[in-house]
Amino acid sequence: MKKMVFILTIILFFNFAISTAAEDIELKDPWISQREQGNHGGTLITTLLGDPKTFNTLIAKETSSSEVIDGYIFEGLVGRNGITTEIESRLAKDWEISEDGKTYRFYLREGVKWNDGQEFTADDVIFTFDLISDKDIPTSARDGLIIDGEFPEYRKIDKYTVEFELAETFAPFLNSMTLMILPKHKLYEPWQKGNFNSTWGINTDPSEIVGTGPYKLADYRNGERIVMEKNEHYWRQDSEGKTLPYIDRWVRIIVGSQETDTLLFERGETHTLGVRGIDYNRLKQQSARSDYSIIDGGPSFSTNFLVFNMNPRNPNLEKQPWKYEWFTNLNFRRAVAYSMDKETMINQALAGQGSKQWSPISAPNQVFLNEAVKKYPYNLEKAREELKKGGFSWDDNGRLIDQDGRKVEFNILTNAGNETRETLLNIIATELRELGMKINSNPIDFNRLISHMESDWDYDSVLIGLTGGVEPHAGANVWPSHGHLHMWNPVQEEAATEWEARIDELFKKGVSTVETEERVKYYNEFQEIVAEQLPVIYTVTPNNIYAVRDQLKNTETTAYGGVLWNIYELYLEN
Amino acid sequence: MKQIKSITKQTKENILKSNNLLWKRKWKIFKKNKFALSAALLIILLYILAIFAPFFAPYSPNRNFRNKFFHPPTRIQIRDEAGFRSPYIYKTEVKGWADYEINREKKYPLRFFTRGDEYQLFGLINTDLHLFQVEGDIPIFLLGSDNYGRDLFTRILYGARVSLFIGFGAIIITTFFGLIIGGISGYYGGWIDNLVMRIVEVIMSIPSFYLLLALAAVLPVEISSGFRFFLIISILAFQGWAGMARVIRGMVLSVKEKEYVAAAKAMGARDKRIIAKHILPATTTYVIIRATIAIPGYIIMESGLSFIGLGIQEPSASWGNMLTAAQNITKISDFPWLLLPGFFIFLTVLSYNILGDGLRDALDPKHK
Repeated sequence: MKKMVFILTIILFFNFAISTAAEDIELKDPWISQREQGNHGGTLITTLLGDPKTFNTLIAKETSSSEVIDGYIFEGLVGRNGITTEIESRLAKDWEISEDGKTYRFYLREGVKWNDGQEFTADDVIFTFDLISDKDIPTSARDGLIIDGEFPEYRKIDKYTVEFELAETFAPFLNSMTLMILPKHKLYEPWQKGNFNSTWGINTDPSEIVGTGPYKLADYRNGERIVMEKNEHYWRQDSEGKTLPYIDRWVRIIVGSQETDTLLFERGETHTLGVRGIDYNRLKQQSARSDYSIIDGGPSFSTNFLVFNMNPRNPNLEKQPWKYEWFTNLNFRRAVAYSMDKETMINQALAGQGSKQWSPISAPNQVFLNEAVKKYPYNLEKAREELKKGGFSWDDNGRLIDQDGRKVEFNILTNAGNETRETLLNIIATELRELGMKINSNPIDFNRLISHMESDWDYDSVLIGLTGGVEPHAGANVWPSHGHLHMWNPVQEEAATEWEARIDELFKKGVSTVETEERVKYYNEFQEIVAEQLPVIYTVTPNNIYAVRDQLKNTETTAYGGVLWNIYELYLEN
Repeated sequence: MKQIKSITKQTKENILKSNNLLWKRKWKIFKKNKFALSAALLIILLYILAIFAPFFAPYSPNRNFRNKFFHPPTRIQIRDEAGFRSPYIYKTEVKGWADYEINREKKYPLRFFTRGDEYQLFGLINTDLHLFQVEGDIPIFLLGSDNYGRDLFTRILYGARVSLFIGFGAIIITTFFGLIIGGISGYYGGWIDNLVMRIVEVIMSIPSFYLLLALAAVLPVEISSGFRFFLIISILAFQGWAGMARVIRGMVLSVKEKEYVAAAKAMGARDKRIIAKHILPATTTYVIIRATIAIPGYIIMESGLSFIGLGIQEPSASWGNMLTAAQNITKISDFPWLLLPGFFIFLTVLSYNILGDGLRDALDPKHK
């Protein structure tokens, strides 16, 4: 009998669910594609290098998870355009910023539905920010929103309007609003029960994972593939008024290595490929007589740089206090900067497909990049001059010694398995040996490397990289002296040097105005200081090159957005 | 007394003579096996090349011609319009990325016994004599160049020093410990035997490649490549001696019951002498054969370790870490010479196996 009741309630519940879904919610603010009208249907096949660890976008830490869901299953109030990188509307059709830059009001698109048919409203937005401000949820989104130690106030004005009030003017706030919005009707209960952190793990039934994005999860097999299907309720439409996206199914094969990725593409089994420099020439030649094109998106946002340990708390300094003297010696760092043979690095480590980097802002960031920073073109003579100025000299065997006659010897670490970095390391070490230094270069396990840098502070120097973005304030954990990723001397209570103090100040000023022109001024100065003081010495950055099958139409490939940034507009030609 | 002494002297000579005869006969059998003989010659040749690598190689192993990366093997020309002449090469110009064009305007003759990069032979003799080089500082890449523009031929020779001697070094240590520990264990028996054999079992049941990985991963950063080389030998030997000791012990167990051992005991010879002079020589055949068969295993293990980046580190060369450069389809299809270190590993391992086979045929007393 009990069973009967249970089944009955389930049936009732389902009826109820269906009836609410069926209740007509009219999409009042659709977005209409300006591109060529395509044909609907087909299956897109791409690859992923690794498995996602979770489908819960708030607690996803690794790109292998976020690249599966963000922007495809979930969307933010606003997002960045894949070409111009400017902020444009997503779930919010419009927004207003008050004069003092402290109040943000977002007007949501009316009639947008979650992919299970429920309506998306201001309650979902409020719910998402309830989650983010919950200290029991380990999410990095919270740090980006806390301004002067305070989480912004947020409130629902009506069903389609939300408002945020900030304690201080904070320019990157709009950038933070790109974070993904989650459905209240699915996640409120788990959150109340305290299970939010384990909800939507990789074993969840795909139909449970509900977002507003162009695709929804249909199937996931660990180590094999992720299958996604078109969201029938999506709010973007083609010029004929039909719901986008054009492509019905999207299979993402998990390949595990770039080598397999390349092979699959060459065999014609996938539609797009991120081309490595080494394969560029070969694929370029092939593309002439094959059904795909190679597109060079220009320099990417990834960086590779050398950083010296300038941390007085380095435990190794007890035995070798002179290393602190060397690494904090600006002439020494300049000499190292002059010995970076970036031409050879591009040729040998990036197979000719790369660009030199001089500034902490990545080259594709046209708004904030300062091209006039001090540059250190490859010149060993100048390097030797700098060393002499810094009090170094050479012994009879040509070995570099400091003013106390100690031989200059140190380690450079990098993470094993990254072929580009290992090659860069080799080139750098060769040049520095040319200057008479003794270099022990060694690729080690990535996690060991990170613990040396972040917790042990006992390294000499490290060759590593960070991935930048459009918003310079994203570097707030790196550049200000209290940052956890302020690698050369992390988590300082008070800035150790004048120039670090100045950078702290510039980062504060940079967010205190919403006027881009003014912000550019502050970040320009910041770039000049970094290039002048060389806390990190930049090397080269690979170009983003893509191979795209000609069958895939409406693509406009860029370094920022890749091929799939406008996946909702892409279609497959028959 | 004097007489006895002279008699023993004579018997000694007789024994030596018959011993020599025995070895001569074995050598004769071995010589007939042309296959094994050529393998032996090839191995000797490789070792000579490795030992005198700095002389045979035109450059020092870290000399990089930074514009000439992935340069294909240089064609050595021996004839021109006028017919045959002394060997010469053409210069190449950089055309594009890893794309080179031969410039036929000028001929650059090869010069033999020239002065070039300085080196130290056996850590003693300072010299700069090289077998060959090209006039006018034009790089010659007999086997092509790698992605840093370093001469592959040079690095293969230098890499041979690591790859060939690592097996050699490991087998010497293995044999030394295997013989002593196996000999003692077999000869004394009892609780010593019991203890040693249990230890051997424990060591043999450690998964060796994982042990290698673990040990190689904890090696500190600062150690020189020479010391790293030594450590890898020790690691390889550490897990190698156990199997050896076990077999030796078995052989000793049977040999020690032989009459001549009993005779030696009766004459009051000391244990040490009996083990060293009477028992262990009986295992010579086994040791030689085992060594030739085990060496290729060590060579492959070193290559494996270096290949995954835990063995010999750049910029030092070993065949294994050179092969790491050829892990990509483009590289294999466009720059196939990068696979040559693998070919050398193949050649060496094959030669050792053929040699081991030939030696077993020759040395095995049951074999006619």
